[in-house]
Amino acid sequence: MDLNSFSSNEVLFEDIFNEYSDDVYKLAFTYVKRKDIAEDLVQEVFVKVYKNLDKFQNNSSIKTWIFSIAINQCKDYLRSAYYRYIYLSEKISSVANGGTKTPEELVLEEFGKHLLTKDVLSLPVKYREVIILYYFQELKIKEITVALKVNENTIKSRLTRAKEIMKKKYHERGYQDGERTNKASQGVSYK
Amino acid sequence: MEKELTRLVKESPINEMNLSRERKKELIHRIKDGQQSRGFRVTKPIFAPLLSFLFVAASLSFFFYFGASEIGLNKGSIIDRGMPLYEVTIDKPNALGETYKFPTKLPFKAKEVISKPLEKFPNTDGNSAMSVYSVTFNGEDQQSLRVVFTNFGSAASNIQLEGDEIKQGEFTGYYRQSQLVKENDDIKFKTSSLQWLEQGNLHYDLSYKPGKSNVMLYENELLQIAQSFR
Repeated sequence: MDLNSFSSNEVLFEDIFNEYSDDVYKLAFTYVKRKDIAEDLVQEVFVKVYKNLDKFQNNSSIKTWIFSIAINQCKDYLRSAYYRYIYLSEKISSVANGGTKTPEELVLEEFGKHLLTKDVLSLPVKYREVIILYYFQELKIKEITVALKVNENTIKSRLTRAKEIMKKKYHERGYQDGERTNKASQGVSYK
Repeated sequence: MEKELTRLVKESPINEMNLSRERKKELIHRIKDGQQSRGFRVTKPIFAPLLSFLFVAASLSFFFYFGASEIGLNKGSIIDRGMPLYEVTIDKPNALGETYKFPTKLPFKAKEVISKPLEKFPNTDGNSAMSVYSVTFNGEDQQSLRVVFTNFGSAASNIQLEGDEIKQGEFTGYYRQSQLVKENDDIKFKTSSLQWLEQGNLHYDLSYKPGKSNVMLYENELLQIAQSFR
């Protein structure tokens, strides 16, 4: 995207929002596992983008810059007292209602029909984020290092480790490498 | 695995997650209006780090104080030095005669005083005997200060006093303290003692137990009492 081709920040911002808001939404969802919270995070992220658009320098791609803001926002949310309060309230409410599922569990159940997605969402954050950025968002390793502010070797080793964990789960279900099977993505129809 | 992974990623329902056109319009409007999101506002925490800092500081203070008390590092502290001294209101027991000095100050009000001669021990040279006499002052909180008076006679040259040497003017004493002690199936606080020799053969052993008072006396306090002997 050529930033200079836009006459005003207002127009530029709307284009940026329309271009990347879905990606940020998906990314935020993989951190917080709640659609409503992910939507709120999209708003928070783009408020920052809107306010700081003038400060953006072309040192990285605008996508990497926005992802970097989004990742920080998601991690801040997961560390926040609000998140802990919500998480505990839902757990308590779940127990009080005789073991009904929490919204997060319902989401995992919904996405769990696709086993790979369930596996990815079950990974620890540091492994999950590299899988999401590399495979789902198709960022290059160098772009991931910028977005996560972690060095390249660490990213590579986390990626390897994440794949090992997923491979182990994959094999535990009795499937072999390269074996095309619709069991691996139960409930998902192939084109 | 890599190919399979790439294929499965493409099939993931996450890829189908998108914001509706209406929702995008609404969000753009809200963002330009500078509105925060509905549910929450992620702000830099202020109170949590402050409370954590206070908790850590309080815990460290407590452990340093308790640890220092246990190993006696804060002996002679302001708290301990604030101890009042009380006049001894009883006369020196006759058995002590003019030979021994007797304390004139106590660190607490004496509720009772127990004076008794202890057994005479034959000396190693067989010619004389050590006379031993004890006076115990008991306080209201079961604290006690016991003075054991011993005349070592000619055996004095063979004895060696143990403890940390304390010198003040012409006075030389030896201070000791013990850690937790078991007493009547109960764990009590420390004991402390100060012993010294006068006239070459008269031995004084001043020992203190805090009982339930939780007031410990260390070398400075025992020294004050030792110097009140007249």
